[in-house]
Amino acid sequence: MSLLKVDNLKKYFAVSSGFLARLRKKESYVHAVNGVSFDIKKGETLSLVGESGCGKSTIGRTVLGLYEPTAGDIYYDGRRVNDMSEKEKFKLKEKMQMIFQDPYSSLNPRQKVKEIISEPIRTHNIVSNEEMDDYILKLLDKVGIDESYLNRYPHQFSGGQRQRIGIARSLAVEPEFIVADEPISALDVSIQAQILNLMMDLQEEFHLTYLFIAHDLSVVKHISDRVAIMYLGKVFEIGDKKEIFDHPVHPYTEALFVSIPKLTEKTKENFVSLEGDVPDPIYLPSGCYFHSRCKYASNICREVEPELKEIDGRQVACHLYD
Amino acid sequence: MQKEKILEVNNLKTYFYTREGVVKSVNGVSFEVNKGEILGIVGESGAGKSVTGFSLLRLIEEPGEIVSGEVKFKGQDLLKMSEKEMNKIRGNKISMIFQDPMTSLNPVLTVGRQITEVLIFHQNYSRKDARRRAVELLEMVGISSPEKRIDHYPSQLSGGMRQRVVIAIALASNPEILIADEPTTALDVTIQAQIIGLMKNLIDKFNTSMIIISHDLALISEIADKIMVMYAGDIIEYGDKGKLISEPAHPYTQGLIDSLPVLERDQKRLNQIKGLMPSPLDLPEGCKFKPRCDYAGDDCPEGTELFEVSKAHFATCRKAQFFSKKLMRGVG
Repeated sequence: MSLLKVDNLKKYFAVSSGFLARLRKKESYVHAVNGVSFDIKKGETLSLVGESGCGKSTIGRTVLGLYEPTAGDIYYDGRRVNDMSEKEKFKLKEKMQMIFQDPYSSLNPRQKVKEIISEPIRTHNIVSNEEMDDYILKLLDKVGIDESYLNRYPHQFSGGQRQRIGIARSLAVEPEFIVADEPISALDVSIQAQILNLMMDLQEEFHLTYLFIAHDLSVVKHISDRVAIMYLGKVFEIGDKKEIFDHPVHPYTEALFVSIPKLTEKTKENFVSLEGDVPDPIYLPSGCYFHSRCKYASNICREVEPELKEIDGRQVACHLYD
Repeated sequence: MQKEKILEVNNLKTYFYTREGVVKSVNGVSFEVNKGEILGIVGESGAGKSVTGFSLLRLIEEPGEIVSGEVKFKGQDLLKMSEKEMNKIRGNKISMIFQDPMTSLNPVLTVGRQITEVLIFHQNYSRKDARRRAVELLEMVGISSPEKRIDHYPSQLSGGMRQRVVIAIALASNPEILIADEPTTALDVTIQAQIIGLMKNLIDKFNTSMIIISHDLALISEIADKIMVMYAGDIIEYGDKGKLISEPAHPYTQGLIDSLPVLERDQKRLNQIKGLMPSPLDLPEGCKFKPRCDYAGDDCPEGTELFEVSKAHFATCRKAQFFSKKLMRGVG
């Protein structure tokens, strides 16, 4: 059974509009997420991949209850989150945690490491005050931070070490499910590998379930079991990592793969895989959201929105395969 | 064919005199760029790659200072020029593209105004001719309906378009060298591919030389002719792209290559470089990578001088080649 299920999730953000527009009741919205469904099994890693503005971070935050969905439902362990009481929702926060992108802004600069990690432990009453120090030391050991650093402040650490502290804080409440929003994109290359390896070790040890959000496909390939490729708040292709990476089906997925820089001895001949820019999420295109940039686009693509269909062992939303 | 040497840098040192002590950001680097050639400078944050780029144009501000060295542009040492002479070089013969197109464009001037400024100042264009030329330049960098876009402000353009405008400004004066400091780091991958492709095309077309600075070794390998790897202020490996990627000599270069997740390869764990960058205030003697190096020992080279590993391929250490794991590496 799936641990997390997202059903036809939509999230719009109102754009502040002028007086006249408000008078005419004509508000405009940024359509960040436009009907997304997926589920994640226990112990699995699902990655949401896409370029900026595709709605991947919004989904992560909505799943954690940081945003109220505009429409659609989120189920945790088979129960609809909206049906839960306040007390149950509080309990759920213990099970679901987040690792943030920027290790510089996600730690309070005026708290010591010890305080940063003990705060969620106190809030959720995980261990008693007497056991606290031991518990924190064990956590720090798990993420590879020396115990002598307990009384240091965040600015005394490098980016990679801060990310380790952030991970220790998320683990402090013994979560089952973690949303990791671009956890390594702010780090240097040699440090990225360290943090990725750490996350994979912890997943195995604590049977964690990850919703991993990233734009870097080669990183995603490394950590995921399944992958969802997103564009303008829609899932274009979702399925087993191996299937998608061995043989991408959607034209956008294909273009993304070609665009990633790859280590090579020979100079690349043809760089451009996609012309133009992502359309404005305030005024969504008709039909398939990708048609303005797709080299295979035909009339139907401009008019009818494609549904996700099973093709070659994964789900794809594209008229090419009708 | 004899290659024309257009830039020659000798023993360049740029230090920052901070309250905590002296930071030797660039600690004696030497390299050269030939006409029409693309040199890629790779390194992690704090390696000194951007400071190297800025030093070439003497854009170092307090508390930083270019301590010594030579930057010879067509035989003339830029470091010895007066500020007035330097103004004729900067943004004209040698121009620069910065990482963030939002901060390098002036938000209160139209795109056209910012391009024509260069043409009028450096190329003695009349206002009318400059506008006509600006439209041509916008078209050249792939901006659709340039006659309209020329009157837009930067905030009305997307990130990719802004970077195209920055490229148009940089190329407006027909420079001989273009220095691009992380030109696509703020952009999405599909847009990055567009911008890198555009730069490569224009560079080839005008036979301009380019120095491209990036943390992304894969990206650099796709575009550069020569690569220079920096670590904590030193060049640790330098040379022909093909050789450097296929037979990295320095353990750090090899570590960088091995820690990249590769799309075509299945691997359970990523190879990681252990430890952290040393503090710039407290650098180890000799090889600065030694504390993190798997091959470190008593037989390490004492200095940080580059020596020839093979033809057109230099490094400060070649231990990676002795312990080569070449077969395991997935180089495409």
